Amino acid sequence: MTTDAVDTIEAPDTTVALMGLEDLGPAKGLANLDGLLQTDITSLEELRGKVVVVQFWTFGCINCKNTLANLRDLYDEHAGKEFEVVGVHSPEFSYEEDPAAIGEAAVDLGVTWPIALDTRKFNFFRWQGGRAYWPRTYVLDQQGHIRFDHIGEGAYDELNETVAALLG
Amino acid sequence: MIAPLFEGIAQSLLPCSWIVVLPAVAIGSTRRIRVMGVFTIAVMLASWIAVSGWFAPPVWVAGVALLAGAVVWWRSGPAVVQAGAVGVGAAWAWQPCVGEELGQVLNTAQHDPFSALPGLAAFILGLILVGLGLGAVLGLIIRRFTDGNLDCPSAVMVGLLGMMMVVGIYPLIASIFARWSTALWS
Repeated sequence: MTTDAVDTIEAPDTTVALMGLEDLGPAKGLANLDGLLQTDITSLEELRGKVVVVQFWTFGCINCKNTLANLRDLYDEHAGKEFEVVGVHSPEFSYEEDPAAIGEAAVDLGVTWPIALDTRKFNFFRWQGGRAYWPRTYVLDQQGHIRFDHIGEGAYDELNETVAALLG
Repeated sequence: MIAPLFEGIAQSLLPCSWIVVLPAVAIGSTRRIRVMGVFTIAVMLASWIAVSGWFAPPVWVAGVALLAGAVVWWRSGPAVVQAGAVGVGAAWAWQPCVGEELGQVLNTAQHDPFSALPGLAAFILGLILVGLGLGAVLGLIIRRFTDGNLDCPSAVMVGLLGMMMVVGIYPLIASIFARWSTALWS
């Protein structure tokens, strides 16, 4: 499955007023993907109306792995709500590019949420600008606006609180 | 400053850091304080410029800097200019995996680069300390037992790294090493 559209998630007509959560602007869509694993969705736009955690990661990165326990807890805690996690897999090394290896790693690491295959790192650089990092975690509100942006490990309380606040 | 320093030391063991650590080993083997000092400052400043978003060159530019530093080093021996070029090349080629402390530094750098500088400098110092130390010990051993030095092989190693980046095969080589190291660690 390939998504070639280069979209920005449109700004809403009415923005949800969220006390203390800065609106960092509309998120970019996910374009030029090499497919999605563990989901039926074909684009980020289909998740409009949900709170979405988007994390750029790669399975060989120890710092990315260290964030997964919190993401698993978050995913379980809000299961059944209007909430989703999308792991955008952007490989650092060529051995991380094989979809079969990514699938195996997802099983080993307990990653049960949708995985977008960003093998060419198009979105990795497009979302982050010229200098990009693993891992980087964003929270998108129901209108597709970025409400949280964190580079690296940590800030788990802030991430969890942002999701909880957006879900109301 | 202590926490970023120790995280830098820990991260020096990870494959994503080797593009900085290997040149640090080469520079350390010279056992010249000024050369090591200039290399360290060059890595710190070039990294800071990159993470602040002021200048993030493509990897081939980093390769050219490494290659240029290595060629002059090979012809004229190690000196501060060569060390500076190698430091800049290594810093611009570095694509970090980000732990908690470096994460804080990088998040700060997004909106306040000057406040991020001390933490980044401490992290970089930790990252290259192991490499400089290892190189210095290797240089000492070679000097003691063979009466030679590692200047030529060190310059060649840095030059090869630069060449691989310029021609675009560095990611493939790095991938092989990363896979080996992942197997080793696990």
